[in-house]
Amino acid sequence: MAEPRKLTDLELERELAGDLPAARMADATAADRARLGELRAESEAFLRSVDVDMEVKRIQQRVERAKPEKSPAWWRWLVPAGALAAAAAILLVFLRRGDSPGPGDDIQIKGEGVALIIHLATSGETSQRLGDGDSVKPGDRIRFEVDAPKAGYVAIFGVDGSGKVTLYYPDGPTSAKYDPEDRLMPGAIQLDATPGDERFMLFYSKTPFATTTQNPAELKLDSDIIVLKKHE
Amino acid sequence: MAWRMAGDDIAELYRRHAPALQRRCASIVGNAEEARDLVQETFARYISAKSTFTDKASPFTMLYRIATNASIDRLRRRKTGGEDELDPEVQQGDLGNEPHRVDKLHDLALLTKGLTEEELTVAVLHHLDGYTQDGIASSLDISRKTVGKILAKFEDHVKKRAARLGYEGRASG
Repeated sequence: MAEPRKLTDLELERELAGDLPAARMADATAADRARLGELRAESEAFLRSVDVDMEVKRIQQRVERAKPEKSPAWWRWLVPAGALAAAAAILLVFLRRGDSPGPGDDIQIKGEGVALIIHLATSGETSQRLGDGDSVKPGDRIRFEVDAPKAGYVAIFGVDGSGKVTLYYPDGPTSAKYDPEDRLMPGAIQLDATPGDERFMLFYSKTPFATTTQNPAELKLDSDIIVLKKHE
Repeated sequence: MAWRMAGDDIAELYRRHAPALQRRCASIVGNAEEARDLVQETFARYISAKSTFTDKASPFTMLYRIATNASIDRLRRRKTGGEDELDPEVQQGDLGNEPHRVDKLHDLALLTKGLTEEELTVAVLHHLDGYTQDGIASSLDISRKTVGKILAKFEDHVKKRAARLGYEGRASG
C-alpha cells in the first residue's frame, strides 16, 4: 500500500517557491512528490499563459496609484487653464502603428491611466492574454478587459485591415458604465477573415459619451490601443 | 527615502510566487481572470507595504496571507444590497459544483471582517481547506500552540460578529 502524503499542498507550494526548509522536504513521500509534480506542471502552464512583463507593468501601475497624493487636491484649481492645457499637451503621446493610415492612426494615448487587455479564448475555461503585436487568426474568439483606476464610461472600437470601423462594446449609441471591480467586459467577439492587422481601441471618460462616430480618434478621450496581427 | 522595487526584481518575485498565489485566489473567488487580477493586487500591496513590515515571515508567507485576505475581501465586496449581503453569483457561481465550499466561503466572507491577514489565513486553511492544526503549523512555520490560539480567537470573533449581524447561517466548522 502506498505511503500517504505527509506534506500539505501549501508546503509543496513553498517548495516550488524555494521557501520550504530542506529538512521538511526530506519527509516527502512518493505521493507528495507526485503532487509536487502536478503543481509544478500547473505553475509552468500558468507562467506560459501570462505576459510577465505586462503583469509587472500592471503591478507597478497599481503601486503608483496606491501612493498618497503629495499635494492637496485643491492646488490644481489654482493653476491657470492655459498651463493645464500645456501640461496636457505634453502628456499626449502620438502613436502610429502599422503601415497603412486609418482611423486608428490618430488615436492618442493620454498618460498611463487606462489600459485595454485582450484575452484569447483557448480550450476549455482557459484564456491566453494577448499583447500588442501578437498574432491571431480568423475564427479566434477574444474578450476585453479594461483597467482604469476609477468608475466611468467606456467603449471599445475595432478597425480591421480594410479600414472598417466597428463598435465592439457596448452595443449601443452611448458608452457603457465601467466599474473597476468588474473589469472583464461581457461577451466575446469572433474575428472574421478580413486580412490585415486588427486595431482595438479603448476609450474611457468619467462622463458618458456618444459611440456613433466613424472616426474614434475624434473622441479625444483617455484611450489605449492594441494591434493584433491576423494570419490565416 | 521611499523604498522602491525594480521591474526585474518584481518579475523575479512574480515568476517565483505568482503560480501559487493564482491557485490560492482562484480557489476562493472561483474565477481565473479575477484571480489574476487579485495576484496583481497582492504584489502591489506587498511592494507598497514591504518597507513597513515588522513580521519576520518569508516573502512567500506574506504574499500568501495578502492574497488570501484580498480574495476574501473581494467576496465581501460583491454586495448587491445591505451590509454583508453577497451577490448571488458568489453563492451559486463559479464554484457551483461544490455547494458546501461555497457555503463556507459565504460564511467566511461575512464573518471574518476585522481579522488580521494571519488570522484569516489560518481560519481559511482550517475551515475551508480542511487543514489540521498540525498541518497549518508546519505550512506556515508557526507553532501548533499559536494556531490553536488564532483559531480560538477566530471562533470568538465569529460568534460576536454573527450575534451582531443576527446571522443564523451555516456553522463554519
